[in-house]
Amino acid sequence: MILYLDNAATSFPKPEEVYQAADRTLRRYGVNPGRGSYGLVLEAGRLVYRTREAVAELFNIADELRVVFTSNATEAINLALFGLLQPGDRVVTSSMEHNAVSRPLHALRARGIQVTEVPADRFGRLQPDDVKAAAMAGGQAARMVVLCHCSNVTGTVQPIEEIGPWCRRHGILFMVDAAQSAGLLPIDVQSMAIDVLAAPGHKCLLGPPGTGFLYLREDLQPTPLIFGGTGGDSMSEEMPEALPERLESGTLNAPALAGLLAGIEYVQRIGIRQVREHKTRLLEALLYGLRQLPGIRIYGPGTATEHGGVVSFTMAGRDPAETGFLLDEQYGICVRTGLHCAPAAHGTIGTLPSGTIRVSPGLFNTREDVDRLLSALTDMLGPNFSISQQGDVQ
Amino acid sequence: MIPENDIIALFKAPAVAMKAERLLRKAALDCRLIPAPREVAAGCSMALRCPAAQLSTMIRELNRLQLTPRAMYRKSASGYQPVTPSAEGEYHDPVSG
Ligand SMILES: Cc1ncc(COP(=O)(O)O)c(C=O)c1O
Repeated sequence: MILYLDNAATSFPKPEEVYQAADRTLRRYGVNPGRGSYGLVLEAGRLVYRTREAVAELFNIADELRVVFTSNATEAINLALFGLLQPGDRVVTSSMEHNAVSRPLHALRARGIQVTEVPADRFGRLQPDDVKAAAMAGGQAARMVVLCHCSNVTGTVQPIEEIGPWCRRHGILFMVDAAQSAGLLPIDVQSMAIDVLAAPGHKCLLGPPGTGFLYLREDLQPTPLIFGGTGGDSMSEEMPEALPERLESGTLNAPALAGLLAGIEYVQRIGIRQVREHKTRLLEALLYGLRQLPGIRIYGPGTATEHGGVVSFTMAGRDPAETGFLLDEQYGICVRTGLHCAPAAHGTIGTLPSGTIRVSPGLFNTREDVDRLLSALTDMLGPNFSISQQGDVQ
Repeated sequence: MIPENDIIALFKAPAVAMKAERLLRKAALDCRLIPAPREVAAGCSMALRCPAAQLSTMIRELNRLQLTPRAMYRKSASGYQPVTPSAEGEYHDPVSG
């Protein structure tokens, strides 16, 4: 049996309800929501609408029409950064970002946007005072602060509840990449003063791939990234002003969004706190077990309660890529190795260029799964083990 | 065919019409989305239809929800008559003021 421990990339498996909802929608309402107004289209549209409501409710978003569906978190992040930042703007970010944030910002530099990167410490932690100082550098408030809530490399959680309200008081837009935290950590756009929230639907919200969303505060009106049909006002040559249509041209993925609705309902039923507690227990067992092994180095805070859903480690004298390959080939265990699309984060924790081995258990993993990984690692480290003998390892 | 006296409301975007339908149904109104008749909207718009008897509740709820329609009409034998603020008192057309 394959053991999947790469839920930070995408959650797998999904709850049964998610498969059923996607399948049912594709079979019964496999039409184009928002194109035409016959009964089936309206049914599909209502389903998409209910998904918008579920997203809004989970993150305490007052108006669900400010939720724009995208095909993943990356698209949501690009939409916000390219759509809101203008030449001359200054944006503050961190050294823990995923390429989904740092690459758009790099491209925006060429368009006259100034980017300041605040370094985190070697555990991946950002000091709020450093962010504040960078945001006010030169006596002028930056246009935006954009931060990853929870690192996909170390699992470090940033204190967004402190930084958001501070940004609001200083008239700075606060944008959060919640790729690793949406569905795992409580997020309240109102109390955390989040103006822009980007998240995938396919990770901790348990939806299918091809889902993500962007929340935009009431008065934010980004330039669209994609121009095209929106199902209404067809005579106009301009994109509509109103959200979500302005930013949702093209056919929406209704079956996947129906799956996302089922995923969110599942998370709500279990409760975000319980989800977190389950993952914390698994990470606790993992961290404890890793510490018993020789030559293991753990990155990030090192205490399970301070890790979002992931733990990264290296093994002395071994290339993470090789370890990942062996875990897969010999033990049927899927973990992610390398740089995890976040080279700056690896620069911060000192793991360039080969990166780490990252383990991210999901909602359906058990303590036995963690034990299976730990015994595979023990086995690999055993006195008789070497790469040349890999054929002997069962 | 839209029955005589029924009310139709147009909104600034399809998702707003969708929201209005959902919330009005929650408020027990018997409304539903329909393709907007071409006499009142060019292109492929959606409209929200409601029975005439529920007009005042519809207006009250839409005002309360701050989902002001772009325009409202009443079906008559001779076509669609705009529902104007003067006729209904509470409905304020944002376009004509
Ligand atoms: C921190 C972070 N941001 C953004 C993303 C991109 O998410 P998506 O794959 O949905 O585009 C990821 C995914 O790994 C991530 O971990």
